[in-house]
Amino acid sequence: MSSFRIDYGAEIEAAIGRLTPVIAEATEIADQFDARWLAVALIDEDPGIAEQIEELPGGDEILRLRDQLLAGLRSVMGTSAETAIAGARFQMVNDIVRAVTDTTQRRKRTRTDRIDGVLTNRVLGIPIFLAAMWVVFKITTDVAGAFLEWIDSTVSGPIDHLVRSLVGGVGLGGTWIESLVADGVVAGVGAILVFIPVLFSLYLALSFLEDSGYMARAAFVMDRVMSGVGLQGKSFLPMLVGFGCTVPAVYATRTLENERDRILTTLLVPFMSCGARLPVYVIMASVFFPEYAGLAVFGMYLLGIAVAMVIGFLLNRSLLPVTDPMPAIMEMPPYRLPTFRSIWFHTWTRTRAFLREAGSIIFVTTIVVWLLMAIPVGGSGSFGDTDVDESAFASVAGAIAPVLEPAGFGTWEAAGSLMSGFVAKEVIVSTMAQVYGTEEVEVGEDSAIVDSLAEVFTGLGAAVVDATTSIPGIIGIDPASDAAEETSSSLSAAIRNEFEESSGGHGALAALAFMVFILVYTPCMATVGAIRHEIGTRWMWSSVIGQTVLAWVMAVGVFQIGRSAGLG
Amino acid sequence: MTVLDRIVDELRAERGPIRSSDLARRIGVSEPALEGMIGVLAAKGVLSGSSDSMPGEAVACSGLACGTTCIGLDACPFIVNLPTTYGLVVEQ
Repeated sequence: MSSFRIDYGAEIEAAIGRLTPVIAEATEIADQFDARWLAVALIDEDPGIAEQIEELPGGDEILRLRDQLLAGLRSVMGTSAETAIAGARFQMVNDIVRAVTDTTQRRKRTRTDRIDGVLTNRVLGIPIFLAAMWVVFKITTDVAGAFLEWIDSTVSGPIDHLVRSLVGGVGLGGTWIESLVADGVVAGVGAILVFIPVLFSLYLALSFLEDSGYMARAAFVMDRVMSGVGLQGKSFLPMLVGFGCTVPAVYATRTLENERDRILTTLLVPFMSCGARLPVYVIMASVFFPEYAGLAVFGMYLLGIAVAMVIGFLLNRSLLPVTDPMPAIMEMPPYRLPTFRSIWFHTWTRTRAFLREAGSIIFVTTIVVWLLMAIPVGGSGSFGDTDVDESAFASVAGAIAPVLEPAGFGTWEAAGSLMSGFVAKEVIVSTMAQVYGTEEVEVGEDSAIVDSLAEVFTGLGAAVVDATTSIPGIIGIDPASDAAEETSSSLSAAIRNEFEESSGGHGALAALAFMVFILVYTPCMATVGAIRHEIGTRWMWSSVIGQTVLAWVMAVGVFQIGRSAGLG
Repeated sequence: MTVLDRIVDELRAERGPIRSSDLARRIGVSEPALEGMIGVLAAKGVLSGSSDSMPGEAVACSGLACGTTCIGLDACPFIVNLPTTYGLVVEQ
């Protein structure tokens, strides 16, 4: 085999030329190593070689000269010597490969290239991404909606009745213990169950997109949009994580090198609607916009992105001036046909993980809310037997409620739900179930347990049928009916009545304003802690106060403008 | 100019993200070869990769605090199978 010599470029070759004779003079070293090879290895800053040389006679002098040469190279070259050496080696390999291989096959566009040509096209990429996301949320609302109604009616009907019967059977009927078990524990479990169909549907649809390789392309497409508001290339990753949960998204901003980018991305991440807000959207949209529930939920996510972009744009031109965009290389996974096993695994793992972690928070908060609702403030009630309007919870929430009146939901029930949502968005649904569930209709007190169980299974069957028949509707085929049925459970009815009443007959507008408020205000206490930890107390307060004020302004704007325009 | 210099130059000239397949085509190398080159540039500190420090358990759930909806790599719906991203390291 013939030997060859790589040309490392004028500057490095000159350095090698100065180092080689000094190595050759150190006989013990020259006996062990080829002088040029050793010179290249030392300039390449190979740590193992330097250690070996240091121990040999003449080694110190060689290393001193090496260090001088490296300092000179750094000032002359735009890049480090080791990068230049690696570049020269790759160049040589590349030249050999090009000389001995047929590259005509490489230039042919593969199937992945052709699909990417459409899905990541500069013009089509974003509409396709939006369409894909719309289908995801349509599946989530249509499929999960049927089960939500069943869970609510089952928990507030047969299960509540069964529990009250059992508590009454042991002589505790009518006591605070019955209230704790029925209004606290059962309501809490019901609130956890509500998340299952919503998140299961969402994770199912997203797992399909993810396993197919599309989500990586979506990240690529969205990166271009984000850079439009001065966000750097890698900012899109925390933003996407924010759709799952804001807390890890805030910590994910650590991957950004620039402090300005870290601060800006951290401030914008909370506007990405996290998974915990989804069940609230689904419930509100199912109650007030049953025909357009998917669109309403999808609209919330889009609104979150739009708000983030506007805020980013404004911050770019004020507190956080834009820096040059930092480009990035993205390695896309190949397209694959997802397998049922993989999708099921992802969906189940994520749903289970959510229930395990969020379940305890929801349950504890439910008990705390029950406790506050059981404590009488004024009035003539006693603990566990007080008019809920005269409870400690209603008193505290009632003090905030007037501020929310211009947004159309100035009731203690809505204010209380938002208050508990500050702890974690996961508990809004449970609080709503508790505060609105107090006006429940009596459900068959004399009916037998067997009848109750039959009612549960009949309801489940109906929900399965509803969910199944809703799937063709997602692609525009609706064999069952032209109009979606309105939800009619006791919780839905109570929410509808309260919002209609508080808004003076503009319930749908008030509901929309409520959803907007939930989208924009501070996600949760854990997020506040994460923001403080990452960018400091001053920015944390800016984020909390700014988001809450913005949420109020937007909610009031939606309600007042909508009412003036005769909507809702 | 070496092939590694061309990668850096192409990246500097770009104003947004670039797919590794597009970059490989532009500089006339195969994608697997480009991956190796990117790995070297990342090891030398010229590029910073998302794969080593990205949002999974290492960053998101390192014991400092953890979200409830997304509790780590297994549970976060947007964390798995995102593209590995490399950005140019800017000297501060």
